[in-house]
Amino acid sequence: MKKVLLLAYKDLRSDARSKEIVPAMAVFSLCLTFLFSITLPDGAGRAPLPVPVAGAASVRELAGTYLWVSIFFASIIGFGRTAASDSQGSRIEGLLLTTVDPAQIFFGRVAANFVFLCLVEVALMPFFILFLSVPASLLWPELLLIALLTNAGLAATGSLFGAASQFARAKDLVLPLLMFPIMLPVVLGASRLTSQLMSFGSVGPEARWFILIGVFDIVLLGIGAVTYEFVVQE
Amino acid sequence: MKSARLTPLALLASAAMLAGVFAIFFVMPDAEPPHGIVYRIIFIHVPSAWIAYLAFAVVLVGSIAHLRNGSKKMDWLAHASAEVGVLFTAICLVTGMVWAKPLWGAFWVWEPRLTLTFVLLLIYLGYLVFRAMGGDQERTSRIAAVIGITGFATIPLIHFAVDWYRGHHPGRAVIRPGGDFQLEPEMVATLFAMVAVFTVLYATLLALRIRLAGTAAQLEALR
Amino acid sequence: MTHVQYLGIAFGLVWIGLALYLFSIARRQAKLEAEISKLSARSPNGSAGGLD
Repeated sequence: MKKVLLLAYKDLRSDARSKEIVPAMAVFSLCLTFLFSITLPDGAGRAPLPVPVAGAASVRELAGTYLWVSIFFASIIGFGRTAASDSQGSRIEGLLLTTVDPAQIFFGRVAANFVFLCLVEVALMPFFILFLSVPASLLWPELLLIALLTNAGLAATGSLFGAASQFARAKDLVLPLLMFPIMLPVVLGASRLTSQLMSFGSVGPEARWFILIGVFDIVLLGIGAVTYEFVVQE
Repeated sequence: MKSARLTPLALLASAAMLAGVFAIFFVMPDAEPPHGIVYRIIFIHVPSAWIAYLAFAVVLVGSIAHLRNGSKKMDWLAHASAEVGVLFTAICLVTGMVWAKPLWGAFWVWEPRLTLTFVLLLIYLGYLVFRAMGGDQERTSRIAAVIGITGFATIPLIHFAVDWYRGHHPGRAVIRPGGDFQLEPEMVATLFAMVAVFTVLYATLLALRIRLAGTAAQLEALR
Repeated sequence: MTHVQYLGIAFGLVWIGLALYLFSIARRQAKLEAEISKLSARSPNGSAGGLD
Protein backbone atom coordinates (compact mmCIF):
# COMPACT_ATOMS: atom_id res chain seq x y z
CA MET A 1 0.00 0.00 0.00
CA LYS A 2 2.73 2.38 0.97
CA LYS A 3 4.48 1.51 -2.25
CA VAL A 4 1.53 2.46 -4.38
CA LEU A 5 1.18 5.67 -2.47
CA LEU A 6 4.77 6.52 -3.13
CA LEU A 7 4.43 5.59 -6.76
CA ALA A 8 1.46 7.86 -7.27
CA TYR A 9 3.24 10.58 -5.40
CA LYS A 10 6.41 10.30 -7.43
CA ASP A 11 4.45 10.12 -10.60
CA LEU A 12 2.72 13.37 -9.87
CA ARG A 13 5.77 15.09 -8.63
CA SER A 14 8.15 14.38 -11.42
CA ASP A 15 5.58 15.75 -13.74
CA ALA A 16 6.94 18.40 -16.06
CA ARG A 17 4.19 20.73 -14.93
CA SER A 18 5.67 20.97 -11.47
CA LYS A 19 8.38 23.08 -13.00
CA GLU A 20 5.80 25.61 -14.14
CA ILE A 21 3.44 25.56 -11.22
CA VAL A 22 5.76 26.16 -8.30
CA PRO A 23 7.48 29.23 -9.74
CA ALA A 24 4.12 30.66 -10.79
CA MET A 25 2.67 30.16 -7.32
CA ALA A 26 5.79 31.54 -5.72
CA VAL A 27 5.87 34.69 -7.80
CA PHE A 28 2.17 35.25 -7.27
CA SER A 29 2.41 34.94 -3.52
CA LEU A 30 5.47 37.13 -3.62
CA CYS A 31 3.51 39.85 -5.39
CA LEU A 32 0.75 39.61 -2.82
CA THR A 33 3.16 39.73 0.08
CA PHE A 34 4.88 42.73 -1.46
CA LEU A 35 1.58 44.51 -1.93
CA PHE A 36 0.45 43.79 1.59
CA SER A 37 3.78 44.70 3.13
CA ILE A 38 3.78 48.09 1.50
CA THR A 39 0.69 49.00 3.45
CA LEU A 40 2.36 48.25 6.75
CA PRO A 41 4.72 50.66 8.54
CA ASP A 42 8.47 50.09 8.42
CA GLY A 43 9.89 47.47 10.66
CA ALA A 44 6.44 46.11 11.35
CA GLY A 45 7.87 42.76 12.33
CA ARG A 46 10.59 44.00 14.59
CA ALA A 47 10.92 44.07 18.36
CA PRO A 48 7.87 42.47 19.93
CA LEU A 49 5.48 44.55 21.96
CA PRO A 50 5.24 43.48 25.59
CA VAL A 51 1.47 43.57 25.41
CA PRO A 52 -0.61 43.93 22.28
CA VAL A 53 -2.54 47.20 22.17
CA ALA A 54 -6.06 46.44 23.29
CA GLY A 55 -8.81 47.19 20.79
CA ALA A 56 -6.51 47.95 17.89
CA ALA A 57 -5.31 45.41 15.42
CA SER A 58 -1.66 45.04 16.10
CA VAL A 59 0.47 45.49 13.05
CA ARG A 60 1.97 42.13 13.80
CA GLU A 61 -1.48 40.60 13.68
CA LEU A 62 -1.98 41.98 10.20
CA ALA A 63 1.42 40.84 9.04
CA GLY A 64 0.79 37.31 10.23
CA THR A 65 -2.52 37.28 8.41
CA TYR A 66 -1.10 38.65 5.18
CA LEU A 67 1.40 35.85 4.95
CA TRP A 68 -1.27 33.19 5.05
CA VAL A 69 -3.68 35.03 2.82
CA SER A 70 -0.93 35.15 0.21
CA ILE A 71 -0.30 31.45 0.59
CA PHE A 72 -4.01 30.75 0.41
CA PHE A 73 -4.45 32.57 -2.88
CA ALA A 74 -1.33 31.00 -4.29
CA SER A 75 -2.68 27.59 -3.36
CA ILE A 76 -5.95 28.28 -5.13
CA ILE A 77 -4.11 29.13 -8.31
CA GLY A 78 -1.74 26.21 -8.03
CA PHE A 79 -4.29 23.59 -7.13
CA GLY A 80 -6.62 24.76 -9.83
CA ARG A 81 -3.79 24.13 -12.28
CA THR A 82 -2.81 20.72 -10.97
CA ALA A 83 -6.42 19.57 -10.95
CA ALA A 84 -6.88 20.88 -14.49
CA SER A 85 -3.85 19.03 -15.71
CA ASP A 86 -5.11 15.91 -13.98
CA SER A 87 -8.42 15.97 -15.74
CA GLN A 88 -7.04 17.04 -19.10
CA GLY A 89 -4.41 14.37 -19.18
CA SER A 90 -6.95 11.70 -18.30
CA ARG A 91 -4.33 10.55 -15.90
CA ILE A 92 -6.88 9.70 -13.28
CA GLU A 93 -9.03 7.65 -15.57
CA GLY A 94 -5.94 5.71 -16.48
CA LEU A 95 -5.03 5.13 -12.87
CA LEU A 96 -8.54 4.10 -11.99
CA LEU A 97 -8.47 1.48 -14.71
CA THR A 98 -5.63 -0.21 -12.91
CA THR A 99 -6.36 -1.55 -9.47
CA VAL A 100 -5.25 1.57 -7.68
CA ASP A 101 -7.51 2.59 -4.84
CA PRO A 102 -8.99 6.06 -5.46
CA ALA A 103 -8.08 7.05 -1.93
CA GLN A 104 -4.47 6.44 -2.78
CA ILE A 105 -4.74 8.54 -5.89
CA PHE A 106 -6.14 11.25 -3.66
CA PHE A 107 -3.31 10.96 -1.16
CA GLY A 108 -0.82 11.04 -3.98
CA ARG A 109 -2.38 14.25 -5.25
CA VAL A 110 -2.43 15.73 -1.75
CA ALA A 111 1.19 14.83 -1.19
CA ALA A 112 2.24 16.46 -4.44
CA ASN A 113 0.24 19.61 -3.70
CA PHE A 114 1.68 19.63 -0.20
CA VAL A 115 5.19 19.58 -1.56
CA PHE A 116 4.41 22.37 -4.02
CA LEU A 117 3.17 24.52 -1.16
CA CYS A 118 6.24 23.81 0.92
CA LEU A 119 8.46 24.83 -1.95
CA VAL A 120 6.49 28.02 -2.45
CA GLU A 121 6.82 28.88 1.21
CA VAL A 122 10.54 28.21 1.23
CA ALA A 123 10.83 30.66 -1.63
CA LEU A 124 8.52 33.18 0.00
CA MET A 125 9.86 33.19 3.54
CA PRO A 126 13.07 35.14 2.94
CA PHE A 127 11.03 37.94 1.37
CA PHE A 128 8.51 37.91 4.17
CA ILE A 129 11.34 38.25 6.66
CA LEU A 130 12.92 40.93 4.51
CA PHE A 131 9.89 43.13 3.86
CA LEU A 132 8.65 43.05 7.39
CA SER A 133 12.00 42.99 9.15
CA VAL A 134 10.96 40.02 11.19
CA PRO A 135 13.76 38.55 13.25
CA ALA A 136 13.91 34.98 11.98
CA SER A 137 14.72 33.68 15.43
CA LEU A 138 11.21 34.62 16.52
CA LEU A 139 9.65 32.44 13.89
CA TRP A 140 11.77 29.35 14.09
CA PRO A 141 10.96 26.55 14.82
CA GLU A 142 7.25 26.92 15.49
CA LEU A 143 6.57 28.41 12.10
CA LEU A 144 7.64 25.12 10.58
CA LEU A 145 4.92 23.30 12.47
CA ILE A 146 2.38 25.94 11.54
CA ALA A 147 3.35 25.65 7.90
CA LEU A 148 3.26 21.86 7.84
CA LEU A 149 -0.17 21.66 9.41
CA THR A 150 -1.56 24.46 7.29
CA ASN A 151 -0.14 23.05 4.07
CA ALA A 152 -1.70 19.70 4.84
CA GLY A 153 -5.10 21.31 5.26
CA LEU A 154 -4.75 23.46 2.15
CA ALA A 155 -3.51 20.53 0.09
CA ALA A 156 -6.26 18.18 1.25
CA THR A 157 -9.06 20.66 0.59
CA GLY A 158 -7.47 21.94 -2.58
CA SER A 159 -7.04 18.47 -4.04
CA LEU A 160 -10.64 17.53 -3.36
CA PHE A 161 -12.24 20.78 -4.44
CA GLY A 162 -9.79 21.27 -7.27
CA ALA A 163 -10.97 18.03 -8.78
CA ALA A 164 -14.57 18.98 -8.03
CA SER A 165 -14.31 22.36 -9.73
CA GLN A 166 -13.10 20.81 -12.98
CA PHE A 167 -16.65 19.85 -13.85
CA ALA A 168 -18.22 23.22 -13.32
CA ARG A 169 -18.44 25.92 -15.93
CA ALA A 170 -16.45 28.76 -14.39
CA LYS A 171 -13.78 26.50 -12.89
CA ASP A 172 -11.47 29.26 -11.79
CA LEU A 173 -14.24 30.98 -9.89
CA VAL A 174 -15.75 27.91 -8.34
CA LEU A 175 -12.60 26.76 -6.60
CA PRO A 176 -11.98 29.90 -4.49
CA LEU A 177 -15.72 30.20 -3.82
CA LEU A 178 -15.81 26.70 -2.40
CA MET A 179 -12.50 26.77 -0.63
CA PHE A 180 -12.73 30.05 1.18
CA PRO A 181 -15.37 29.28 3.81
CA ILE A 182 -14.05 25.78 4.36
CA MET A 183 -10.47 26.92 4.86
CA LEU A 184 -11.38 29.52 7.43
CA PRO A 185 -10.25 27.51 10.48
CA VAL A 186 -6.87 26.88 8.91
CA VAL A 187 -6.23 30.39 7.63
CA LEU A 188 -7.43 32.00 10.85
CA GLY A 189 -5.42 29.56 12.90
CA ALA A 190 -2.24 30.00 10.94
CA SER A 191 -2.65 33.78 11.06
CA ARG A 192 -3.23 33.92 14.79
CA LEU A 193 -0.39 31.52 15.53
CA THR A 194 2.03 33.44 13.32
CA SER A 195 1.02 36.79 14.75
CA GLN A 196 1.43 35.44 18.24
CA LEU A 197 4.81 34.10 17.26
CA MET A 198 5.88 37.42 15.83
CA SER A 199 4.70 39.28 18.89
CA PHE A 200 6.00 37.06 21.62
CA GLY A 201 8.35 34.51 20.13
CA SER A 202 6.20 31.65 21.30
CA VAL A 203 2.59 30.65 20.79
CA GLY A 204 1.60 30.41 24.41
CA PRO A 205 -2.17 30.28 24.97
CA GLU A 206 -2.88 30.17 21.29
CA ALA A 207 -1.42 26.66 21.06
CA ARG A 208 -4.95 25.25 20.92
CA TRP A 209 -5.08 26.36 17.30
CA PHE A 210 -2.61 23.58 16.50
CA ILE A 211 -5.21 21.09 17.63
CA LEU A 212 -7.91 22.75 15.59
CA ILE A 213 -5.84 22.76 12.43
CA GLY A 214 -4.75 19.19 13.13
CA VAL A 215 -8.33 18.02 13.51
CA PHE A 216 -9.25 19.89 10.36
CA ASP A 217 -6.49 18.11 8.47
CA ILE A 218 -7.64 14.71 9.64
CA VAL A 219 -11.27 15.42 8.81
CA LEU A 220 -10.51 16.74 5.33
CA LEU A 221 -8.10 13.97 4.51
CA GLY A 222 -10.67 11.46 5.67
CA ILE A 223 -13.51 12.95 3.67
CA GLY A 224 -11.28 13.29 0.64
CA ALA A 225 -10.11 9.71 0.84
CA VAL A 226 -13.68 8.44 0.96
CA THR A 227 -15.29 10.75 -1.56
CA TYR A 228 -12.54 11.35 -4.13
CA GLU A 229 -13.72 8.46 -6.27
CA PHE A 230 -17.16 10.05 -6.56
CA VAL A 231 -15.62 13.25 -7.73
CA VAL A 232 -13.37 11.85 -10.43
CA GLN A 233 -15.15 8.80 -11.70
CA GLU A 234 -16.84 8.41 -15.06
CA MET B 1 -45.71 14.60 -6.88
CA LYS B 2 -47.35 14.96 -3.50
CA SER B 3 -49.74 17.68 -4.60
CA ALA B 4 -52.62 16.22 -2.68
CA ARG B 5 -50.74 16.50 0.58
CA LEU B 6 -49.27 19.91 -0.07
CA THR B 7 -52.39 21.95 0.43
CA PRO B 8 -53.10 20.82 4.00
CA LEU B 9 -49.42 21.26 4.80
CA ALA B 10 -49.39 24.78 3.38
CA LEU B 11 -52.54 25.63 5.28
CA LEU B 12 -51.03 24.29 8.47
CA ALA B 13 -47.91 26.35 7.91
CA SER B 14 -49.90 29.51 7.32
CA ALA B 15 -52.03 28.95 10.40
CA ALA B 16 -48.97 28.22 12.48
CA MET B 17 -47.23 31.37 11.31
CA LEU B 18 -50.24 33.52 12.06
CA ALA B 19 -50.51 32.00 15.51
CA GLY B 20 -46.83 32.59 16.02
CA VAL B 21 -46.96 36.23 15.05
CA PHE B 22 -49.95 36.72 17.30
CA ALA B 23 -48.09 35.17 20.21
CA ILE B 24 -45.01 37.24 19.55
CA PHE B 25 -46.79 40.55 19.46
CA PHE B 26 -49.78 40.21 21.70
CA VAL B 27 -49.01 37.53 24.21
CA MET B 28 -45.40 38.21 25.10
CA PRO B 29 -44.67 40.97 27.54
CA ASP B 30 -42.09 43.66 26.99
CA ALA B 31 -38.64 42.94 28.30
CA GLU B 32 -36.69 45.31 30.52
CA PRO B 33 -34.58 48.07 28.96
CA PRO B 34 -32.52 48.25 26.82
CA HIS B 35 -34.24 45.38 25.11
CA GLY B 36 -37.76 46.66 25.45
CA ILE B 37 -39.82 45.91 22.41
CA VAL B 38 -37.05 44.98 20.02
CA TYR B 39 -36.16 41.77 21.79
CA ARG B 40 -39.13 40.16 20.05
CA ILE B 41 -36.87 39.70 17.07
CA ILE B 42 -35.41 36.81 19.02
CA PHE B 43 -38.51 34.79 18.22
CA ILE B 44 -37.55 34.86 14.57
CA HIS B 45 -33.77 35.05 14.89
CA VAL B 46 -33.10 32.01 17.06
CA PRO B 47 -35.60 29.57 15.54
CA SER B 48 -34.45 30.44 12.04
CA ALA B 49 -30.90 29.56 13.09
CA TRP B 50 -31.99 26.17 14.41
CA ILE B 51 -33.99 25.42 11.29
CA ALA B 52 -31.06 26.44 9.11
CA TYR B 53 -28.90 23.88 10.90
CA LEU B 54 -31.67 21.33 10.51
CA ALA B 55 -31.84 22.08 6.81
CA PHE B 56 -28.10 21.64 6.36
CA ALA B 57 -28.16 18.42 8.34
CA VAL B 58 -30.78 17.21 5.89
CA VAL B 59 -28.44 18.25 3.07
CA LEU B 60 -25.81 16.06 4.69
CA VAL B 61 -28.15 13.09 4.97
CA GLY B 62 -29.42 13.51 1.43
CA SER B 63 -25.90 13.86 0.09
CA ILE B 64 -24.65 10.73 1.80
CA ALA B 65 -27.70 8.79 0.69
CA HIS B 66 -27.27 9.98 -2.86
CA LEU B 67 -23.65 8.88 -2.92
CA ARG B 68 -24.45 5.50 -1.48
CA ASN B 69 -27.23 4.45 -3.79
CA GLY B 70 -27.44 7.05 -6.53
CA SER B 71 -30.99 7.92 -5.54
CA LYS B 72 -32.29 10.90 -7.50
CA LYS B 73 -34.86 11.74 -4.85
CA MET B 74 -32.13 12.06 -2.26
CA ASP B 75 -30.36 14.44 -4.56
CA TRP B 76 -33.51 16.52 -4.92
CA LEU B 77 -33.84 16.50 -1.16
CA ALA B 78 -30.30 17.75 -0.69
CA HIS B 79 -30.62 20.50 -3.27
CA ALA B 80 -34.00 21.65 -2.00
CA SER B 81 -32.89 21.63 1.61
CA ALA B 82 -29.81 23.66 0.72
CA GLU B 83 -31.97 26.31 -0.92
CA VAL B 84 -34.41 26.53 1.95
CA GLY B 85 -31.51 26.43 4.38
CA VAL B 86 -29.89 29.40 2.70
CA LEU B 87 -33.21 31.24 2.97
CA PHE B 88 -33.41 30.62 6.71
CA THR B 89 -29.76 31.53 7.16
CA ALA B 90 -30.43 34.82 5.42
CA ILE B 91 -33.42 35.40 7.67
CA CYS B 92 -31.27 34.69 10.71
CA LEU B 93 -28.58 37.08 9.50
CA VAL B 94 -30.96 39.90 8.61
CA THR B 95 -32.85 39.68 11.89
CA GLY B 96 -29.55 39.47 13.74
CA MET B 97 -28.29 42.59 12.03
CA VAL B 98 -31.46 44.57 12.57
CA TRP B 99 -31.40 43.58 16.22
CA ALA B 100 -27.73 44.46 16.57
CA LYS B 101 -28.30 48.07 15.61
CA PRO B 102 -30.53 49.15 18.50
CA LEU B 103 -28.70 46.81 20.82
CA TRP B 104 -25.06 47.60 20.07
CA GLY B 105 -25.27 50.61 17.83
CA ALA B 106 -23.97 48.93 14.71
CA PHE B 107 -25.57 46.74 12.10
CA TRP B 108 -22.59 44.44 12.14
CA VAL B 109 -20.40 43.21 14.95
CA TRP B 110 -17.87 40.42 14.77
CA GLU B 111 -19.80 38.44 17.28
CA PRO B 112 -18.99 34.73 16.93
CA ARG B 113 -22.54 33.59 16.25
CA LEU B 114 -23.30 36.24 13.67
CA THR B 115 -19.98 35.58 11.97
CA LEU B 116 -20.54 31.84 11.94
CA THR B 117 -23.97 32.35 10.41
CA PHE B 118 -22.44 34.43 7.67
CA VAL B 119 -19.86 31.75 6.90
CA LEU B 120 -22.65 29.21 6.83
CA LEU B 121 -24.33 31.34 4.21
CA LEU B 122 -21.13 31.40 2.17
CA ILE B 123 -20.70 27.64 2.32
CA TYR B 124 -24.13 26.84 1.02
CA LEU B 125 -24.26 29.68 -1.43
CA GLY B 126 -21.14 28.09 -2.85
CA TYR B 127 -23.01 24.79 -2.98
CA LEU B 128 -25.90 26.39 -4.87
CA VAL B 129 -23.62 28.27 -7.24
CA PHE B 130 -21.75 25.08 -8.01
CA ARG B 131 -24.98 23.26 -8.76
CA ALA B 132 -26.09 26.07 -11.02
CA MET B 133 -22.83 25.98 -12.93
CA GLY B 134 -22.51 22.26 -13.23
CA GLY B 135 -22.43 20.78 -16.68
CA ASP B 136 -23.25 17.11 -16.70
CA GLN B 137 -26.21 16.54 -14.41
CA GLU B 138 -25.27 13.27 -12.81
CA ARG B 139 -21.75 14.31 -12.08
CA THR B 140 -22.90 17.65 -10.69
CA SER B 141 -25.20 15.86 -8.27
CA ARG B 142 -22.45 13.59 -7.10
CA ILE B 143 -19.88 16.30 -6.64
CA ALA B 144 -22.43 18.59 -5.00
CA ALA B 145 -23.05 15.80 -2.51
CA VAL B 146 -19.35 15.79 -1.67
CA ILE B 147 -19.45 19.54 -1.18
CA GLY B 148 -22.52 19.22 1.01
CA ILE B 149 -20.82 16.64 3.20
CA THR B 150 -17.58 18.59 3.51
CA GLY B 151 -19.39 21.82 4.27
CA PHE B 152 -21.35 20.34 7.13
CA ALA B 153 -18.32 18.56 8.55
CA THR B 154 -16.40 21.80 8.86
CA ILE B 155 -19.14 23.69 10.70
CA PRO B 156 -17.95 22.79 14.22
CA LEU B 157 -14.39 23.64 13.26
CA ILE B 158 -15.43 27.00 11.87
CA HIS B 159 -17.45 27.62 15.01
CA PHE B 160 -14.36 27.23 17.19
CA ALA B 161 -12.15 29.16 14.80
CA VAL B 162 -14.46 32.16 14.71
CA ASP B 163 -15.01 32.01 18.45
CA TRP B 164 -11.33 31.88 19.31
CA TYR B 165 -10.16 34.36 16.74
CA ARG B 166 -12.00 37.44 17.86
CA GLY B 167 -11.18 36.84 21.48
CA HIS B 168 -13.51 37.32 24.39
CA HIS B 169 -14.83 40.75 25.24
CA PRO B 170 -16.22 40.43 28.75
CA GLY B 171 -18.62 43.31 28.36
CA ARG B 172 -20.16 41.69 25.34
CA ALA B 173 -21.07 38.36 26.78
CA VAL B 174 -24.00 39.68 28.74
CA ILE B 175 -25.95 40.97 25.82
CA ARG B 176 -25.40 38.36 23.13
CA PRO B 177 -28.60 37.92 21.22
CA GLY B 178 -30.27 34.64 21.76
CA GLY B 179 -30.61 34.04 25.41
CA ASP B 180 -28.17 35.72 27.71
CA PHE B 181 -30.65 38.23 28.94
CA GLN B 182 -33.48 37.32 31.25
CA LEU B 183 -35.75 34.87 29.53
CA GLU B 184 -39.04 34.39 31.27
CA PRO B 185 -40.45 30.87 31.08
CA GLU B 186 -43.26 32.02 28.78
CA MET B 187 -40.67 33.44 26.42
CA VAL B 188 -38.88 30.11 26.35
CA ALA B 189 -42.19 28.42 25.59
CA THR B 190 -42.84 30.80 22.72
CA LEU B 191 -39.32 30.26 21.47
CA PHE B 192 -39.88 26.53 21.25
CA ALA B 193 -43.28 27.11 19.73
CA MET B 194 -41.68 29.24 17.03
CA VAL B 195 -39.18 26.48 16.37
CA ALA B 196 -42.14 24.20 15.72
CA VAL B 197 -43.74 26.84 13.50
CA PHE B 198 -40.56 27.22 11.51
CA THR B 199 -40.20 23.47 11.21
CA VAL B 200 -43.61 23.26 9.59
CA LEU B 201 -42.70 26.17 7.36
CA TYR B 202 -39.44 24.46 6.42
CA ALA B 203 -41.26 21.23 5.64
CA THR B 204 -43.71 23.08 3.42
CA LEU B 205 -41.05 24.96 1.49
CA LEU B 206 -39.01 21.79 1.19
CA ALA B 207 -41.95 19.85 -0.19
CA LEU B 208 -42.70 22.59 -2.70
CA ARG B 209 -39.11 22.72 -3.83
CA ILE B 210 -38.83 18.95 -4.16
CA ARG B 211 -41.98 18.92 -6.21
CA LEU B 212 -40.34 21.47 -8.47
CA ALA B 213 -37.33 19.23 -8.90
CA GLY B 214 -39.57 16.31 -9.70
CA THR B 215 -41.42 18.33 -12.32
CA ALA B 216 -38.15 19.41 -13.90
CA ALA B 217 -37.07 15.79 -14.12
CA GLN B 218 -40.40 14.92 -15.67
CA LEU B 219 -39.80 17.57 -18.30
CA GLU B 220 -36.33 16.25 -19.00
CA ALA B 221 -37.69 12.76 -19.48
CA LEU B 222 -40.16 14.03 -22.04
CA ARG B 223 -37.48 15.73 -24.11
CA MET C 1 -35.19 55.22 14.46
CA THR C 2 -37.46 53.93 17.12
CA HIS C 3 -37.35 50.40 18.29
CA VAL C 4 -40.74 49.70 16.87
CA GLN C 5 -39.42 50.69 13.48
CA TYR C 6 -36.53 48.25 13.79
CA LEU C 7 -38.95 45.54 14.75
CA GLY C 8 -41.12 46.41 11.79
CA ILE C 9 -38.18 46.33 9.40
CA ALA C 10 -37.03 42.96 10.66
CA PHE C 11 -40.42 41.34 10.34
CA GLY C 12 -41.09 43.10 7.06
CA LEU C 13 -37.87 41.84 5.51
CA VAL C 14 -38.54 38.31 6.70
CA TRP C 15 -42.02 38.29 5.19
CA ILE C 16 -40.74 39.77 1.95
CA GLY C 17 -38.00 37.16 1.76
CA LEU C 18 -40.43 34.32 2.31
CA ALA C 19 -42.87 35.73 -0.19
CA LEU C 20 -40.18 36.18 -2.82
CA TYR C 21 -39.01 32.62 -2.42
CA LEU C 22 -42.53 31.24 -2.60
CA PHE C 23 -43.26 33.24 -5.71
CA SER C 24 -40.07 32.16 -7.38
CA ILE C 25 -40.91 28.50 -6.78
CA ALA C 26 -44.46 29.02 -8.00
CA ARG C 27 -43.25 30.80 -11.12
CA ARG C 28 -40.73 28.10 -11.97
CA GLN C 29 -43.30 25.42 -11.30
CA ALA C 30 -45.85 27.06 -13.57
CA LYS C 31 -43.29 27.47 -16.33
CA LEU C 32 -42.28 23.82 -16.15
CA GLU C 33 -45.85 22.60 -16.13
CA ALA C 34 -46.64 24.74 -19.14
CA GLU C 35 -43.71 23.20 -21.01
CA ILE C 36 -44.80 19.73 -20.06
CA SER C 37 -48.35 20.16 -21.23
CA LYS C 38 -47.04 21.70 -24.45
CA LEU C 39 -44.78 18.74 -25.12
CA SER C 40 -47.32 16.08 -24.26
CA ALA C 41 -49.95 17.85 -26.35
CA ARG C 42 -47.67 17.56 -29.35
CA SER C 43 -47.15 13.82 -28.98
CA PRO C 44 -50.44 12.44 -27.74
CA ASN C 45 -49.07 9.02 -26.97
CA GLY C 46 -46.85 10.75 -24.47
CA SER C 47 -44.01 8.27 -24.23
CA ALA C 48 -40.52 9.73 -24.54
CA GLY C 49 -37.99 6.94 -24.64
CA GLY C 50 -39.14 3.41 -25.12
CA LEU C 51 -38.42 0.68 -27.53
CA ASP C 52 -39.67 2.30 -30.70
